[in-house]
Amino acid sequence: MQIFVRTDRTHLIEVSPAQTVADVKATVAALQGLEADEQRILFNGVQLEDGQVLVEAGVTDDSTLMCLLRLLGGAKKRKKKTYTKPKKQKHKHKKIKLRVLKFYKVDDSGKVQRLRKQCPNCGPGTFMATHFDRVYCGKCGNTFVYEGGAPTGAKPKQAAPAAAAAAPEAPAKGGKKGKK
Amino acid sequence: MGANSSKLEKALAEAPEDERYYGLENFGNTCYCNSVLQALYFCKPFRERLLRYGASLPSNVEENLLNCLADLFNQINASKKKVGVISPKKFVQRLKRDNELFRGHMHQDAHEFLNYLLNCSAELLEAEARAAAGQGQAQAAKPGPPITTWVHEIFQGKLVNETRCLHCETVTCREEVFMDLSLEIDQNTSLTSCLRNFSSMEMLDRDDKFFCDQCCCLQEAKKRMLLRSAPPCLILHLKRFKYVEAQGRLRKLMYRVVFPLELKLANTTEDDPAAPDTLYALTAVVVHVGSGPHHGHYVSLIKSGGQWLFFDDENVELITESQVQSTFGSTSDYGQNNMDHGYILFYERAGAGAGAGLGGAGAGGAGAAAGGAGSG
Repeated sequence: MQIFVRTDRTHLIEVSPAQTVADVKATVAALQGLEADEQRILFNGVQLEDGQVLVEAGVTDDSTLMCLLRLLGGAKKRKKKTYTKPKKQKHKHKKIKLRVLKFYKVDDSGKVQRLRKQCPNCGPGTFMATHFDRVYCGKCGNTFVYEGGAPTGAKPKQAAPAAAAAAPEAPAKGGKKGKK
Repeated sequence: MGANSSKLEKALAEAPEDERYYGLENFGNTCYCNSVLQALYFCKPFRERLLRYGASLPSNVEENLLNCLADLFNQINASKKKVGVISPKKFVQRLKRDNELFRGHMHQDAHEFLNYLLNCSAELLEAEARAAAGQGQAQAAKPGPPITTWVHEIFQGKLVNETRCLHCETVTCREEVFMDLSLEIDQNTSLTSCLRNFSSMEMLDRDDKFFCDQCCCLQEAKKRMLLRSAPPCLILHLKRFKYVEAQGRLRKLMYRVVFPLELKLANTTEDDPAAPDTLYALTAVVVHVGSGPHHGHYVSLIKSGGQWLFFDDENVELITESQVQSTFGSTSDYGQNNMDHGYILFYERAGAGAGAGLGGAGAGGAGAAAGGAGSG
């Protein structure tokens, strides 16, 4: 028997009543190139399933099948977040020319003093950054926080040597160190 | 949401007292379902019949898709508050259990879902009617003549297929029914012209010649499809998809297709002289938001009590008519900034029972004219 299949235009195809809807889809695929599982075939207002036999679906000679595609949708629309606090300012690296000069001091006798604490993990030569309440190793991430929030190196006037428990070599120099 | 809903409540103060505006929760990619359910809920003939049906059910009935839906509608309808959010959990679970296609968490086609829902409902009703009629008779296996259920009454229309053999001039007619019409679309057209196009004459030649029983051989022929009878609620589906052979892939068509708030059907047969004058009013639009055919979001725009509402899953907002018009599509090929496109349109016959209140002030004159034609 012949049936009409209406995609964007009408095709006439020859099928046997015992063929299935999947066969029709395959024929349309061959005609127009669109894949079989993208197609939806409707007859008499009902969408047919792939396994259905045409005659059982009521398709007879000269019936018109509609071939449709899909527009998929379903996403949950994300709600726009409302922020209460202003955005955090990102840290910006401060460039100080010849920063390394600040790390050493040559005293009158020509002896070199190292003004920064060195990291116990990374060994001598790795200076730790001095912050207001802690020292930090940029190489391994090791941090020592000064107890009681009393910075040794940061502010000379507050430099209570006893507070710097974690700084074995710092206390003596602590007072001298003028951290900017 | 709280502030939002109270604002909506205030805005809806003039809306009909018994109308409920409930958002539907999304359980992960179920908005194809939500948008269609909203459109159906606000399709008054359907809602009324379904609520009546739901009320008539015995309490111990076996759960199926239709009574889950009735349950959901009833839940919304019986709510005390005018606005709110409801979760269609039971319905979605049932749907996923019943149909393999919708089981996963994939995006789906709203039209496919609508078609499945309507046909499944009709089938369930048919089965019930048959069981009631033929209790004791062992003829359940036989399909028998089709029973017209209220789902059919509301949404089903008839098409007639005319094929004219160009050799012997024999006209072959075939009647077929439909639940909705899927219309081919073009850039910068209107719905009316798409409808006309749907019913235009088509040549069957070259590879698609028609086998004429009279001539007993393949002949060139002309074919067209006309509307024999249109249902009270007409669902129009725009084929906003196309397979581009050259690229071997599917594309979403962003075309601008203007759909009028009031529609007259021109492509009817002459059986019913009043048919071309019957006025249809737009009641709901299911909108596909997205740039491609493979994923996106569905929302629905619904007219209720002379006011347009926007339903986006759990959100409900008031909108203006001009916002509805923004879903016509875009004139540029790839609709850069406008991704919202009307996909399924629900039209209700003006003056058809419950639909009477739907035509706003603007519809008054035309509606009266159509009513006059209908009665004459």
